[in-house]
Amino acid sequence: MQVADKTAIDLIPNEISQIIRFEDLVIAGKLMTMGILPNAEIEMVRRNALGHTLIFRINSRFKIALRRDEARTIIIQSA
Amino acid sequence: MSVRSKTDLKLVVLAGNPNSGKSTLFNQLTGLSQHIGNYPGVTVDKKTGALHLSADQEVTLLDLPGAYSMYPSSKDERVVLRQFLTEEKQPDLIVYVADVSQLEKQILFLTQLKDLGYPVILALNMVDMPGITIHTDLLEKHFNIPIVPISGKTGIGMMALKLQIGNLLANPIKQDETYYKLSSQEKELTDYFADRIAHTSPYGKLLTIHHAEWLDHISPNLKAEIKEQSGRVRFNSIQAQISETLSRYSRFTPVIRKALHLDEGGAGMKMTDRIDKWVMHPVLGSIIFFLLMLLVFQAIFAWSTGPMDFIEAGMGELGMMIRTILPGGWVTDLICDGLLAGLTGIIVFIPQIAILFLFIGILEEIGYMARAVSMFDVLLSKLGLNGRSIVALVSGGACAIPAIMSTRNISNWKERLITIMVTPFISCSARIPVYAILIGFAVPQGRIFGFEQQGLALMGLYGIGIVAALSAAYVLKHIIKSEDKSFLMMELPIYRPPVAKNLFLLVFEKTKSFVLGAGKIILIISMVLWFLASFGPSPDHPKLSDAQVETSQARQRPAIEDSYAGILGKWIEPVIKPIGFDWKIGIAVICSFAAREVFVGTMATIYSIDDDSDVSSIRTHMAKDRDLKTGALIYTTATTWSLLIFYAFAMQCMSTLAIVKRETKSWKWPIIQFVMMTTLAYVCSLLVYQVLS
Repeated sequence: MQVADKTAIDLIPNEISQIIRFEDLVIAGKLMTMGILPNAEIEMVRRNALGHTLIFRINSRFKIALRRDEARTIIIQSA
Repeated sequence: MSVRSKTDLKLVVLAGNPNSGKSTLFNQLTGLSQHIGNYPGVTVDKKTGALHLSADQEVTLLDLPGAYSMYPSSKDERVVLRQFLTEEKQPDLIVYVADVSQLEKQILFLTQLKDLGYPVILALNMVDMPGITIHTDLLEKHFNIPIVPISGKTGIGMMALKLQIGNLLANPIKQDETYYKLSSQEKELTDYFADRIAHTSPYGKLLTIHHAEWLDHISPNLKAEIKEQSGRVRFNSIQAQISETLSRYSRFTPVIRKALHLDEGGAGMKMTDRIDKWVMHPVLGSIIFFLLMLLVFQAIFAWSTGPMDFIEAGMGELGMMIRTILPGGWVTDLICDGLLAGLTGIIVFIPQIAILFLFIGILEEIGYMARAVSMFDVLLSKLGLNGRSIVALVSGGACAIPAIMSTRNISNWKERLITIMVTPFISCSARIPVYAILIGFAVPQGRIFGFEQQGLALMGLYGIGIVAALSAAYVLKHIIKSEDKSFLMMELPIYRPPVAKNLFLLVFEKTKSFVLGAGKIILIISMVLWFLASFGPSPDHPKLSDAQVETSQARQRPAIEDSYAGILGKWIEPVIKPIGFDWKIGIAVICSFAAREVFVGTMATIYSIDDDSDVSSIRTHMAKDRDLKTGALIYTTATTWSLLIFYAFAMQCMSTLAIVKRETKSWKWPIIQFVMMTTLAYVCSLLVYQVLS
């Protein structure tokens, strides 16, 4: 368990970071075919009121809606 | 031009990611020549069309469902893979469509198709968007394929694309060098099965090994052997897929970054952000969704009345005309009361179906549906559904059949099954005529807070349908067990204005398939019904003769009671009496189990046989109808509401049941669905009738 790892759900709206790696192989495979890869720039656009669905912008190019559980597997740069 | 059979024509396949503008290009290239069929065994639409490259060269164009890669995550995408790995007729050429502003993430699939060895053309779509600079020469050199800049929306580049297709078909560029170099482990495996897997290219063999488990053309023996051999060399499919994907990206990403320049916020991104601020707002977004739906249903009610009255009046006139031209007798009766009544029951639907599909089409085209999916996932995932179910639930407002077919992109089986099971609760367009005819008896005309009272009642009926669907989903969630993982991962495309041609073709195709599909059933039932209502076993009332047509209403009335239909209606009367239906309604309800919309046609047939002296509308007949013994009006508030509730909940559509059987691959689910819905309908109607009467 890497408790210290920062994941995509820790971002606040408008905060930008970089993807380091993915925790879950199956989700990683799907994200990659959709153009979300390690080293990509990731920006939190908004989270809905209950925090269930998170909207991200990838490489300033496209937006994607992820569930909290899906976003949690994206490890991002902590700085 | 020589006559050749279609199978001789070269096959050009259109492939690309979702949101690449593939369908727009397909519509642009084929127009009204397109034909929608089915892939064997599945129900994803197989869209083909004739593409005329020149005056004397025609090819068949096949539009594949949008896919992200050769590693499908939904059944929709599996169709794509099957096309290349198993279909007997192999494509002669692939036209790969990519949205130029999203090039970096849409090129992965292209490199995979290239490795299967097909000649490929890259059609760069939406080059007319502002803020884009692209150096196609760099891409052409890197991928070693021809590139054509196009705009599916305006038609830019269509001539060039056709020329290029013609060229490449005549002189195919062999893709000798594969874009992805197989790892030593992958090579070992593909070499091992080199003779056993018929596909020619090594990459095709690799994909077959990856997906052997669900590929039908692989024998169980070979499947077992692939599994064993993969285990022996420690081949991990997911791991291999990830390293293949990474390797491909690392080759093309630098090239694309060099070749493509996008202005900050260009290609509609800035505007999309501005709209999303409102549309995706947690509170405002829901209000906007609700207002949109209100607008859609008010429009259906308001816009379709005129054309529907026109159609009914026109068909009435036609019936009159036929009666004056043809001599009296059963043939004329069959034409007017059976055939024409049934035909009217079909055609009268067209305005409503067209308007509903137009609105759903617009919402889908502009990119709103994806937002609705992401917004509703929070609610729907708690009810055992998926955000994607919203597409089915909204389309269910048009027709449950395409709605159920749209669930194929829900990769989780349990979520998909529940969506299929509850979608028919959503009031479909077939219920509209039933509602429209009946609401008048239950709710007086007038306005409340500026809204049509009857329109509000209609909304209320839609409301209870939605509540029933969601509650049923919640119950099913706890009954059906599954360990599949569930995903949202929904791309939110840039907002785009709808393309008129796409909308026109969508509405045209859907209306056509309704008229030809459901229409056939309605027509047959109308004829059968006419027979059942016109003839009976009783010797006292033999078949309707010319003389009887002339006779008064009073003498005609017992005739229908003694007909086969009357006997059938009377036979079920004990069951439907507690919910307030008489035997005539009974006949309509029985016939409606084939399709709900039959209700109106049935009523028309029953009443027009009963009294064919004038062509006044069914509504007037129904409003005047009284119980023979008591003289009380049949369509009281209680009976009407009971009937409305029954039609809102009951499973009365053979076509839907057939689709559910096909989608779930067993009779178990359609049977459960039928029992669940019809029981609920009966119980609720019973409650409503007993309370109101």
